[in-house]
Amino acid sequence: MGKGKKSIRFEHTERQISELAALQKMLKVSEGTFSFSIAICNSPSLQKYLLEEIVTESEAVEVVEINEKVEYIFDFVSSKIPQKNHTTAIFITGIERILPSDKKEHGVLRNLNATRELWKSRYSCPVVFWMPEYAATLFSTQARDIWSWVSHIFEFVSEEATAIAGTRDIYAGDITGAGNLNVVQKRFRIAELEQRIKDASEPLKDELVPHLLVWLNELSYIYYCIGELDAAEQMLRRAIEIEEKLGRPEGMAKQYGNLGLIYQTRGELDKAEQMHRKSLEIFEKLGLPEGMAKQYGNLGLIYKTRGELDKAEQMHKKSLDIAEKLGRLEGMANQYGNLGLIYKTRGELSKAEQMHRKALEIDERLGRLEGMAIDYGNLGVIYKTRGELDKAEQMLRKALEIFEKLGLPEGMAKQYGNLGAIYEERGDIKKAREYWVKARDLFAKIGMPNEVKKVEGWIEGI
Amino acid sequence: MLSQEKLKEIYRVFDPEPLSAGEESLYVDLDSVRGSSGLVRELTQKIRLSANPTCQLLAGHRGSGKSTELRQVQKKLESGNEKFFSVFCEVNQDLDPNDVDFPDVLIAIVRQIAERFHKKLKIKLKPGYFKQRWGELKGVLGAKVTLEQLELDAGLAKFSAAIKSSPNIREEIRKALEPHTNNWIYAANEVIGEAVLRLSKKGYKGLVVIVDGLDKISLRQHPTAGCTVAEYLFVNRCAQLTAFNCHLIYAMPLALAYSCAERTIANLYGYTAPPVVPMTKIIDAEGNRHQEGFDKLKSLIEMRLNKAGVKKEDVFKEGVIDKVIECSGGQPRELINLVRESIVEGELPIGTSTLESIARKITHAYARQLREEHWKIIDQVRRDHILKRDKENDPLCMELLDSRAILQYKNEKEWYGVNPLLPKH
Repeated sequence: MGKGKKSIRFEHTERQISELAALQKMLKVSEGTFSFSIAICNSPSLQKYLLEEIVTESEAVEVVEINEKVEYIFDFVSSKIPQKNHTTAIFITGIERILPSDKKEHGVLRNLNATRELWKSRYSCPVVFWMPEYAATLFSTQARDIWSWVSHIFEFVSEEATAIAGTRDIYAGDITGAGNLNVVQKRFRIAELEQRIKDASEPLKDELVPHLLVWLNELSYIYYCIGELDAAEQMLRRAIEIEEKLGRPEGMAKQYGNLGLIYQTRGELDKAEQMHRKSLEIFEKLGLPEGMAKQYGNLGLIYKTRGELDKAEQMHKKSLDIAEKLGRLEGMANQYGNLGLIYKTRGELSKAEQMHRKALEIDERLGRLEGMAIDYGNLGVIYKTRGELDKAEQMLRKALEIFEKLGLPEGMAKQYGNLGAIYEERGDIKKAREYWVKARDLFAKIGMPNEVKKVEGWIEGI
Repeated sequence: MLSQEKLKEIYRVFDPEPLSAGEESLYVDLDSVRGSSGLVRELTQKIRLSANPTCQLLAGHRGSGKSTELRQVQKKLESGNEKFFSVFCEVNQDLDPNDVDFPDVLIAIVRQIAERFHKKLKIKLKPGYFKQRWGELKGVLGAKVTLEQLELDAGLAKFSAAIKSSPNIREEIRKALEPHTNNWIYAANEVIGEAVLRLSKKGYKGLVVIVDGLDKISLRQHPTAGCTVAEYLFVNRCAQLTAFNCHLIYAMPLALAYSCAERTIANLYGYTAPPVVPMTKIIDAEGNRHQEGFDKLKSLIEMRLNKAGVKKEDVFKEGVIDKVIECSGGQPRELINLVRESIVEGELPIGTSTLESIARKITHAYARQLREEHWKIIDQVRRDHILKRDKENDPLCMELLDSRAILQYKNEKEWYGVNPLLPKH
């Protein structure tokens, strides 16, 4: 394409540009030869834009839009495009309309699966199916035969313009309060804690050790929130040293778990896994199932990031199991939520919805407003993926309202981000920008530079 | 004839309230006649020797001298080479003993720590994360109350006042706090952390909070938990009660220490058996007089008479002191109460008839309280001096201990006796 219309500064956008280039190259290279390709794109507006770009470049590309009534995709496409013509490529869109996510089996995919020979004999050009991520998952599992023929996959996703409302990692110690200080308050708090730690440790006074450990942990958490991961790590290492000296394995286990989360954020997944495993092992030895449950949950998040969804699911289920046995409703809600996110990634949207609803039910019962807000947010993201934008907006607004009521800026910022994404899909660019700017400013205010960068990427991409 | 002024003085000196800081001269060490040897020492040493915050319990009959012992603990910890700063937290100032749950206790404890720091050390502790937490309760207190500008103790006082005043508001506050209990504990520990650091700079070894008053909470059934309110707090809420990052001593209802929940409580709080302040032994299980016990209680009365500056014979007729002690069943507070009532009821010196008329009133009160099913247990205790508890009669046993119809003595071995003022059955 190379029209140079946009200033591209951000990684994900760059990757999408190169995917587009690859797709265009494929169209050229395979001219006159049949092939199956899949182009994954979650955002209808982005898809529309990409198709326009490609079609203007090469007018002989035919786009067939599937409607709700189609049962036999091949027959439908055949009726639209005759056998011999000058088509350089066939793009098939709208397949998600006939793949409702709440159904287990999709006849239409079974039918499609049986037609692969027909395509090849009828067309001698590339056939590209455009679909969102979840549909691709269904495709790959329910039309396996055709899938095995797919020679190219182009991903215009990865950095979805939607901040998932809330994974639930478990940072040991109840420091959510610290996370919700604004950036100025965080800086003050850092100074205060540093002073306290200095006062308490020069020389180290016995009676202050339990407090010192709490302060080190909180300080580490605040550093973690504002993205100063080295400082965060340093604090945890000091805490571990003290716990070790005092022979407090439980404390060490807790801190190892937290260290794992820091590595996770840095993307050092192997190291993170190692820490969570170390923590898990100690908790296991001490016979502390609650600690074990937390680390299973955290391990699940690592596997999810790695894309090892089955393993991740297994971990969250283990965590859920323990929480269930202990009757820890809060832990159960967390893991239902995490499982929901896994199912969503797999494209099993109705299962994901079910999980988030379960989490919501528990959180409602406990009156755990923050949890409810996260659940509403996650449900909103699911509806958005399904294209049910009004329903999605309704959920996201509910989430936003609770976060506002609780005065939790992080949650608010995430919802602004998600709402912006809804407006973008509706094509309301002005509103999308407005919300994303709100999200960006709020993330900046509470000192979360990674999130700021992400949202800036979306704004640039408009 | 004693003057009206003198009479007032005597009345004042027989105050059943636990001895306060300036009244050490009235303290009589009853350890040896209670069989509770070294209770104060045990409680203080555990705090002095432990590297980590401790959480201890102390149970005892109403009026057995629990609060007085706790005051002694406080005095001991505040002196010596390694001084502790102590907060004697009378939770009943802040909560309704008929209906207690953990959030109320948390608010009471933190409020009283802040108040004591303010008053005694002139230190204003910062609200820290409580400021964030106010938001969760905004709705409960109504729009007019703005908490943002308030100091920590004043802010919390708003809640404790609300908690005490209305069951509805209490319920709402709890509902709002419950899901965030861990955050509230974190906020409390943030305040405690700052406090301990400040104390350390002033040369204190640490912070001790003595929570008195939870022994008075109700043995009523908890509306949902399927046990008494007291059991719910001490058993189900153990993780929270022990979560504060400072040394704690909780006074606990005696009935709980002698209920079926006793094993659970012992395990939860790390005891072989929760420490108990038993009654002073004035007779043994066979009904023989225990002279040492009599003498100790006698000196308790005499020290107070001395303080009032009156002679024994001006207040008691011959032999009446012994009778008062007998009627008290070895309960120090009951003893003081009996004297006080006698002063009001008849002329001084107090004679047998005055005492008998008071005793009769107490007997009537018991007669009104006791039901047929209680009597089965009372008769058995009268006969065997042991309290045979099972899951079924546990609530009844708790009621009997709670109402002091049955008294627990320790001495050589633990045994139970029937309150001497119980009606004959």
